[in-house]
Amino acid sequence: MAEVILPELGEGIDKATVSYWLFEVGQPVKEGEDLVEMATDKAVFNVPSTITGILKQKVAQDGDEVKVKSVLAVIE
Amino acid sequence: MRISVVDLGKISFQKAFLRQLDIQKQVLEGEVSHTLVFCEHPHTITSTRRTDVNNILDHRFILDNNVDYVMGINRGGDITYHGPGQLMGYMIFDLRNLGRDLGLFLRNMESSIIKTLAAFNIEACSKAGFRGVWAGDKKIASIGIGVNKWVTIHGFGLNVNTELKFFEIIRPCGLDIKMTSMKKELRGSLNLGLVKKEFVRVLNGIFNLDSLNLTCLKEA
Repeated sequence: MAEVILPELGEGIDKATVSYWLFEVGQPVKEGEDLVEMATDKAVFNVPSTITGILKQKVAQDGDEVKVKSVLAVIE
Repeated sequence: MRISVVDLGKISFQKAFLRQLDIQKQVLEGEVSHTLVFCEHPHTITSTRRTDVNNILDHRFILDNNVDYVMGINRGGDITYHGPGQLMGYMIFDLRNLGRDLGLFLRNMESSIIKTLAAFNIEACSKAGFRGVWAGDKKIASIGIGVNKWVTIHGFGLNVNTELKFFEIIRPCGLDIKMTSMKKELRGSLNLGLVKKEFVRVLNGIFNLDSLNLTCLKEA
């Protein structure tokens, strides 16, 4: 099992908003595959899965604000 | 650190976007270095996945004046206008070599625009809580990027000689704001080439670049 974390984004950016999930709970996902699109006021970026497995849980939902270093998803 | 500067000249937003994707792939694979793409678009409105359609204020004007409308762009920010006289600077940079610091990259981009404007005697600044670069209470440059595996895409639109009336058909950036241009601030048109040259000079200093290759690719 692995947690997918919102990485640190650098100076002055301490949170980002979930734009949309590219996978549904229960779907298989490969290591390095983009899992979720996140947005700040100036940038959008994808957060990839850290392992190959099944998306077990979306900890944050579309539209949720997430702090950096927080858990976005659980892959099993 | 090296940077390539590519000038696409006048080109549609869609073609420039495809060119950017191609460069981004090459940067991701380590085939090319950081790349700055200059270009100028015909009248085009672009929006992101976050854009509220109510931010389009005059649909009829868009239809009657042959303005392109491109939806769902993978960049930050909201709806904006691109057109003749506006300098587009697409910065396809590898943040894996720049400390993986998105905040610093965006600040450096804004600083580069501010210092470029200063060279033309326009006082500009960034505003806490607002995107882009401002001359007084009016916005002069818009910023929005996308990032794929720490390689950026998109960048900024700096109003040099932009026809500002086109911004009135939308709520730029989803806000009730006024836009301005270098032409308006200086009461005279500027040569886009001079602005590009100054921006590259400033960028060179801010990002501590060693060398520049200038490639001009003119596309129909």
